[in-house]
Amino acid sequence: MMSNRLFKIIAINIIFIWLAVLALLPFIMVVVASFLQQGDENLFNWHLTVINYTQLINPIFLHIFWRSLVVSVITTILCLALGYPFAYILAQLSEKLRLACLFLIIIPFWTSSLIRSYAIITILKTQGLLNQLLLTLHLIHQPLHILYTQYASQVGLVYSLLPFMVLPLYATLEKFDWRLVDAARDLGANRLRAFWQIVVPISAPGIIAGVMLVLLPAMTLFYIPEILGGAKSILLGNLIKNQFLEGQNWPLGSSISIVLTFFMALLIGVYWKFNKNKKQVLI
Amino acid sequence: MNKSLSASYLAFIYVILYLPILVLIVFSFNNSMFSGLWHGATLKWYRELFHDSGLQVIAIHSLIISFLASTVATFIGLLGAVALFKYQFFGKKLLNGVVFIMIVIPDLVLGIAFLILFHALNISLGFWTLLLAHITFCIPFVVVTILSRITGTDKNLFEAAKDLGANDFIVFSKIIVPMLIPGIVAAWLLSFTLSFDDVVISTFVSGPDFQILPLYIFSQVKLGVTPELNALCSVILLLTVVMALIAQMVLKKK
Amino acid sequence: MNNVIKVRNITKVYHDTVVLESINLDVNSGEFLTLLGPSGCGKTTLLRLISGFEEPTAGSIMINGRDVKGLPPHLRDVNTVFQSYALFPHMTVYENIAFGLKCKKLPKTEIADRVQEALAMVRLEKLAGRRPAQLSGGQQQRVAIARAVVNKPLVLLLDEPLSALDYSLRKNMQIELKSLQRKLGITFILVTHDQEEALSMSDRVVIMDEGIIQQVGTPRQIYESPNSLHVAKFIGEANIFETEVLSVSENHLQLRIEGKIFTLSNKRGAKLGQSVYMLVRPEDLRAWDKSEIIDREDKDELIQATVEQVIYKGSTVDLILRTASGKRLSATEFFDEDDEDLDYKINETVWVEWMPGWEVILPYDE
Ligand SMILES: Nc1ncnc2c1ncn2[C@@H]1O[C@H](COP(=O)(O)OP(=O)(O)OP(=O)(O)O)[C@@H](O)[C@H]1O
Ligand SMILES: [Mg+2]
Repeated sequence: MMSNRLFKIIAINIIFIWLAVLALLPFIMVVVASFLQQGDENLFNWHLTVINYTQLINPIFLHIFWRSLVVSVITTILCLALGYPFAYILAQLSEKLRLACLFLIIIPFWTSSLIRSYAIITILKTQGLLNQLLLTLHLIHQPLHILYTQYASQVGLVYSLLPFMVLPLYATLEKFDWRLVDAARDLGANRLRAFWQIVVPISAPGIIAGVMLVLLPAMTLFYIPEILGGAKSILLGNLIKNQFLEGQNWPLGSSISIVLTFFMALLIGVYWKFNKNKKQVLI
Repeated sequence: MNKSLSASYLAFIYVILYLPILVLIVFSFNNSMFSGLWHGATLKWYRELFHDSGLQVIAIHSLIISFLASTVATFIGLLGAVALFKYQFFGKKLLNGVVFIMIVIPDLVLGIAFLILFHALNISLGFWTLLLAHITFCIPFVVVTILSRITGTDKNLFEAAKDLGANDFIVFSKIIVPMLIPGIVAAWLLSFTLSFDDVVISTFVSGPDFQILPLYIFSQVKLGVTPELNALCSVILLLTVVMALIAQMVLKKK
Repeated sequence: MNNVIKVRNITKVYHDTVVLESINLDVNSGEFLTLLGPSGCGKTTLLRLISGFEEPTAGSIMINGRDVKGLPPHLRDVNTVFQSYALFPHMTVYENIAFGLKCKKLPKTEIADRVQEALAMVRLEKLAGRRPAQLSGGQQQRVAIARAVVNKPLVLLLDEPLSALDYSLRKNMQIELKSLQRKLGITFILVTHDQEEALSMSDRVVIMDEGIIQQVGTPRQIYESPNSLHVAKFIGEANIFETEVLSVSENHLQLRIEGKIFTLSNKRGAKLGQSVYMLVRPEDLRAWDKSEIIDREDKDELIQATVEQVIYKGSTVDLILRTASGKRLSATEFFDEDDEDLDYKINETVWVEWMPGWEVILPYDE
């Protein structure tokens, strides 16, 4: 039928064209831009070059890369350490309780992480709640100066990204067949062994999805270090942003982004390797 | 595991997640400009908020962008999800791939990609660039949300409708859309909040003539904590929590 | 004979519901015991109490002479084959089977030997490197069994191990399980819904209902002399007549059934005037047609009925009959040498009898 063909063509083409022009094309442009020279008057000079990549092997950049990596790995580990037991407990709750608890973890997911990061200033600042608490408990005698240090931005990242770790973990653990733990115990495994050899490997896809959703944003959420960390704690995200909005070196900013994207592709590869038998959508 | 230990761990995480937000809301009622201590309750900051005409303009900008972006994105994403579900076509894998990549790629990379695109096309930054960018980054979330709903429905239903003489336009408007209403509403609400809260992408694609709330808040936050800002953030939090609530309720009804 | 498991007065309460009530059971070493009962009667719960996943609310369990109260599952000498297997999806067949031995920290070479032996036993040597998802239902089943028996438990608990398989595969696995049990000499406790399975495989059957044990006995005892109407109904089909005892003499009693008086032996000491059920299994009922009965003198003492349905089943014919009083009977007739043509017609009149002594007489149990 004519109208059926027409519907199919319309449905497919609208999204296809939209994403081709506004997503695929700009991605390709970033790749191209990363091989162009920085221009004097225009932003780009049409000369192909790899200087934007070779330039990255520079102690200043390498230092920032390294710091970003360390910070985001620590963030990921902390989120995993806090989030895994949480998701594990959540997945074993009774149906009713679980839905309520799940909703409480979805709310932070929906609320602005900028606002949530702003909210912890009041907690962390010198006369803030944390210091007051520690002082009244006589755990410290002088208020700690956490705010505007890299510790504050570390705390902010963990706080902002924790829900992104919990949700994929919960999604896999919810489907977990708890009788497998019984089976392992029956065969002579103690609780710890059953956990490490059965629960953890089977929930690996969830762990990797969670790591992906935390590791990359931890490098690129530039506003968290800017709000909480002060000038000295800039990370990869701030570096890229500065190339575009302040330094005006777009080719360099592009090449850093490409490196970042490669890193992402690597993680996705790992995710797929672990998940190839099962079809599962992220989040 | 020990029951009370489990319960206290859950409680511990919830406290960590919610305490800062609660403190923020409480201090939006604090009768003192600077202090971190409690000086009695007042609605002064909310009154000031609602009398700040500059802020009102910015808020309206944000609402317009988010409303338009989420509506257009929901429409396109819905069509896209239906196409991905129903049809086999050239480039289907590519489309799936782009949707997946857009969800996992850091917003920052998306932001600079938009910036380079608009620069290359010589479009000056402002309302239109913001709108286009917001529509685009919402589409994949709509596709995923709706797709996960359609895959649960019975393909035979569509066949049955066709068998009774309906063409694809009718199947779409009379069967698919009504059946997917919960998913569509949830997708729209999610898009609205994603757009309304977005800082990273907007940083790259907005111009000086068209300010929006998240960027305004970002610039204010760098100056420090004020009760008025707390009040503004509380209002936004309330809005998004209500949206999340509606979305959950809509999705739970089958 | 020594008892490998002794269950004494076990009661299990979940929240407020009593799931098992004063269960007593002795399991002989080396026997094949089956727990049979309707869904929800507590079979799985009883197995979980023995394996240590649940603790009884009251009572005690002895395994091999030792009270196992408080002993966690991994320290008990029993292994379980779970309902729908619970194979570890991320491990190969080999790794699944080796898991228990690794937990015991046995030397590598011994693990390899024993796993090979177990694989050979269930004929899966060629599939050792596969993941559970790449196996058929029957193969998964065999892995689950190998994974349990490789640990050489005293008792193997099997919770409906065959229920996920289709009919013919199930028949084959029943035979395999039985011969495996003979070969290994391990005590098997098997849970099933399927009475045919229970009767054909077990040395003894335990009939459970609503958390209590109704009867324990060999398949033959259970089938031929059920001690309650419930058991009789649960095991196989039965024609049930409700009546009263008319008279009692030394070893005999008289019952009126469908208007005829029958003199039967009084095995259970029924009393005069007592209300009783009389049960006859369909395969014990013979239905004679007119030509077969015409010469018999006692034909007036038989029950007359009309044929309502004839169902051919290959080696047997199932008849649905209706007596003059409207009672529905079912009878199964076998083809054999002296009765080659079982040729019943609908609405034909037949005369029904059974071998005296094959009936079961039970008191009203309400
Ligand atoms: N963890 C539990 N909490 C509460 N009630 C339970 C629990 N486990 C089992 N029950 C109840 O105990 C009763 C017996 O359950 P069980 O699983 O032992 O039955 P079953 O005989 O194995 O049934 P099936 O043949 O269906 O497997 C059921 O009514 C069930 O609802
Ligand atoms: Mg059961």
